[in-house]
Amino acid sequence: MVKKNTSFDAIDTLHGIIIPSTMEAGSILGHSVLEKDEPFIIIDSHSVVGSPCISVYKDTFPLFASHSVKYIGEPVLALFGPDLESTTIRSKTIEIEYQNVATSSSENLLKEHSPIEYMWNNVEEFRTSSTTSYKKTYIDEPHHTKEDAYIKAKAWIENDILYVKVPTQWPFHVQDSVASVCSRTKKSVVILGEDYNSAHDEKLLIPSIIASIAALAALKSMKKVILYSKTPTYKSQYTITRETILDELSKPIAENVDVEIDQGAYPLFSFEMVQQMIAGLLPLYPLKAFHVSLKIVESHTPPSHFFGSLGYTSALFSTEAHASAIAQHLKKNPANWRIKEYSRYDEREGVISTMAFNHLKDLLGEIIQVSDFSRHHAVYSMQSQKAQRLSTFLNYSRGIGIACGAGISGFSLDSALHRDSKIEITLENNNIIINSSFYPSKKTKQLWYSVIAQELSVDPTIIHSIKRDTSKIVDSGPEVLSLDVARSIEMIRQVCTSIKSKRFQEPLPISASVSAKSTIASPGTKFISQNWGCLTLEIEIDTVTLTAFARRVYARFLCTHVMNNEQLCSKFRHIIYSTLNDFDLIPIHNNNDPPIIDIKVTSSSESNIPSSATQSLRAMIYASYVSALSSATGKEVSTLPYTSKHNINWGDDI
Amino acid sequence: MKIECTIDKITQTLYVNSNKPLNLILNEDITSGRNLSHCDGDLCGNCIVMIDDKVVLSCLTPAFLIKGKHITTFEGFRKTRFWHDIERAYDDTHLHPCSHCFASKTLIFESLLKQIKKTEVIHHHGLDEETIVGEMRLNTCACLDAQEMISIFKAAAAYRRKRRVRGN
Amino acid sequence: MFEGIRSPTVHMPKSLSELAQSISRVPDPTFFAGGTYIMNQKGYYPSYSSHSDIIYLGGISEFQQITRNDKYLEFGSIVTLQQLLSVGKQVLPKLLYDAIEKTGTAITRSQMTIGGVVCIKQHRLLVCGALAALDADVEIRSFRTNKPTSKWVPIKELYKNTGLITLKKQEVVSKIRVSFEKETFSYFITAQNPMIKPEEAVILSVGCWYNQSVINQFRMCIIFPISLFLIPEELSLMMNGTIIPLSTLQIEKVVKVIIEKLSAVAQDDISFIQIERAKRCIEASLHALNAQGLAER
Repeated sequence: MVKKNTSFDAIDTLHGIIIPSTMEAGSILGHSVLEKDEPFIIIDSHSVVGSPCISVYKDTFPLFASHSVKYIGEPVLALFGPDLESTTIRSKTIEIEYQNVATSSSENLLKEHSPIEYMWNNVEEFRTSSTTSYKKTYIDEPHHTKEDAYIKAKAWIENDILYVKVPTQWPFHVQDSVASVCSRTKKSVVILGEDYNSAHDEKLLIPSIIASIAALAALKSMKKVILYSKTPTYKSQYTITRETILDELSKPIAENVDVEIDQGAYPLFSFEMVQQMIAGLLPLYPLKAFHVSLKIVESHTPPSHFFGSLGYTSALFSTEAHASAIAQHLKKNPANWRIKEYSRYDEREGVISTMAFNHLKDLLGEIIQVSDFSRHHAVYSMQSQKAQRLSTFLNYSRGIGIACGAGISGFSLDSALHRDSKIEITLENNNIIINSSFYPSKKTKQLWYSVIAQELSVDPTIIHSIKRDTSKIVDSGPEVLSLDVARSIEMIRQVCTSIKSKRFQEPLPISASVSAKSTIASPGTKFISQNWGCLTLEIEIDTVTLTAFARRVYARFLCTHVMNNEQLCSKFRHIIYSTLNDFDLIPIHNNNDPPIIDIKVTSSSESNIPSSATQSLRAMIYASYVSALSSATGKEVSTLPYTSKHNINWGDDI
Repeated sequence: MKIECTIDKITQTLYVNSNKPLNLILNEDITSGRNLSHCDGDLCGNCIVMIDDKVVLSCLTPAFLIKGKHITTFEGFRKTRFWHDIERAYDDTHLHPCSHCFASKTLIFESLLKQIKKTEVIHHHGLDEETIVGEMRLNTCACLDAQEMISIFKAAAAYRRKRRVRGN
Repeated sequence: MFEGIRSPTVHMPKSLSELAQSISRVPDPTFFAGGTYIMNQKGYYPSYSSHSDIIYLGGISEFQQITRNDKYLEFGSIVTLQQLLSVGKQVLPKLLYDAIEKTGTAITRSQMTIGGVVCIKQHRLLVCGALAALDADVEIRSFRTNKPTSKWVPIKELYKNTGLITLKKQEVVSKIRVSFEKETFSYFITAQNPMIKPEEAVILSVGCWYNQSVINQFRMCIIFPISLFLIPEELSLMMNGTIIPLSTLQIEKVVKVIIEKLSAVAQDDISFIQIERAKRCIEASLHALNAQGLAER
């Protein structure tokens, strides 16, 4: 509780929170003002001395809503006071006056952008009287993180340098944003990156927003400032309609895909999202014609882009779920159908270059055997044909699904998003320093250190990383989509090669750096995948409580350059477990229950740059889940997340 | 309200509202502030501390109930010898909670280890797998699966039993 | 000059007489038992609404005891759920033991009190259903007049059909008692977490007493945490005298009667999924009763 008679001048540190819009859409007429002697300050759009927007490559979004709001939760102002508690209390009395508030949900759609098309040949030419078609729509519904702890941005001025301390995946973007908003040079803004945990890329752009607001408050008050934020990160809604044309032998020959991506009020990273989606939408069975139409739409919802993936997961989910659905439609075993139909084709290799398909088929064969997929699939298919499904008397209802995919990491190879990003290594006497703006996890750090130790024949204990201070580190770009694992390994190798060439010839210290440009492979493809994964998921629906839970998960991977197999399996297990948890599929553990997850990673003899399997693994779980649900419920399931209430919509297709 | 208590062995005199939750007190009212979660009713289980050696959810503990109590946060627990049993278990199994829930999950492990009866020195720790996993799921972060939690607990329990045998 | 929120005065009576004095001084207090439900509410702190004076019941010795005689097990309202569990499976009725065990983990149960759980204004949890199915009684102490009074009432009278508590201001629940008459059959099931998704959760508690396959007493309590607390009396009448196993037709009839009743009581406040879950839980309980009856033959 704030002490009485606290004057503003006597306060050392200001504590602030953001006051967001409570309306979906409308004009802002104004907001409450503070009394003259209150120990608070307000930061709003009028406080911005530089650019009122945050730029993200070619896109922008406003730091504060000034004349109108576009979504609930849009920052309108920030209030700073002597402590967090009194600021929170005072914020509840601040009223924002709105006008022309949108009330009908039909007004929700703001703008549809022109669709982006990708195709080869004409799909319609392959539609004849002897062909059939199979059409289905897949929806990956919007989702957001639950923030249980504050992200704090601390700002202060020292010797005319504006310092900001914030956990961030992209420290140089924070620096650019703060400099732009505060109308300062980049040299006069130093960002100190803190440790963070970010399963859904929560620390990609939110830190830039809160750092900019904190910086404005520090400049206005000339005091140390801490801004607290619990802003969630949002996932876009993906609606993917796929229509596959099958020839007389029921073989897919052409496919038409319509995609709608709702990116909320301010689309960001759209161009790269389209690239990632196309890579995920391309099926693994060859097609003579293919057409994708991707449409970005804006709506009165918070901006959504990165959420552990930039669309690849949702796209691959639809691809693999559709493959299973086609097999089911043809009354074939989806695993065997995949082995028969999946093969390499040039058009796909031009977008995503993968390892040889025979490796994938070997993995499929292995997983079919170990999970006894064929038997389970046959039994559950028979069960779902029964007249009385989900009977409380017979009380179980099970299903099994299978999916596979190639893992990618980072951005498309011709993307402007990473071209100039760097890593630098300095070799000193008995000391090696890595300079990068990435904040590698403990496991990634171990990987880096072991690669350097191997390349330079040194003891890993002499290797250290520089603290994330933008005045000292080089810009390695945004730390997202497992860039720190994939691309960085190749960059580190190249830097070590450069150091080796100068070692014992030039005096110490020897420094070398490399930019991501040098790691970009020869043109001809947009993504390179150096792994294959296969997964089966068996679920059960409790027919009494109508809740689903996972029974068994089998996952098999073939990856290049596996440094530590146990660590990699542990990482995959974590991703599987956390994704099952997102869907409330974790079973109650009974004594002596076997592990529900069985993972095996085989290291390929090729030693190419590893790519991450995180996004593809999530997609495989999503796809297997809808297939398993369809089998367990006897209904066509194609929307995620699937909640218990869907179970009882008898007769409706979801 | 004036509250006197001990936080991580440091005596504190706090002037806070009587119904202020302990996790907010620890975050805002002590000099070396902690960063405990405050999920505001979402039952995250990520604000665990110990009061008089008993593990509690600090978001559900109001200020007026901590008068005269000894509060131990994870930072304080790390300075005790009991932490080493769990630390070694993490190292031996190559498994550990993520940085987000490390503190709370560790203290939940500690609460389970406290339940190991002194008489069960050599034999089974007396806690079944269901209980271990059920208790650990108070913290909703899904970074460890059931088998991993059980492995860590068993390894830590072995070290705790040896400590009991040694009598420290 | 901004002053923030007033710190609520906390009264910590140590006896019933001190409690009476505290209540007389504070017109509209917040009663604090374990405080877990109150403190778990969204936006509880800091807020202007959380400033009413607090009367902390945890120090009152009369509310902390667990006693037993040949007929009843009695426990004070401030006894924590974990303390109750420690009484043991041999003493606690199985239905109550199961309900308490499923209410959170040992850490949360150590902070939750039985009285606190029972007295939440409009949110019924697992323990309420079990106590109702066991026909437990609660002692209500009233401090509304100068002369405090106390009376024992069946727990079902503590709640309306919508789940809202009927306890008036200046009334507290001091003790709860359950009979030692062990139920021949008990069934407890909860679908969905009643704290996280109360609008989809269903809690079913069934206690049945039968002798030589003839049902003497049958009690069922169905809870939808924020909208329904139902003990269908007509069910008890239907089931008394019935022979186990029940036929399919009998089960269907029971389910139909109950679903009609709860739909009439709760009307618009229940979700489709809750009705479906309730139906299935009731069916499953009757199948389980049949299974036990047949196994004993």
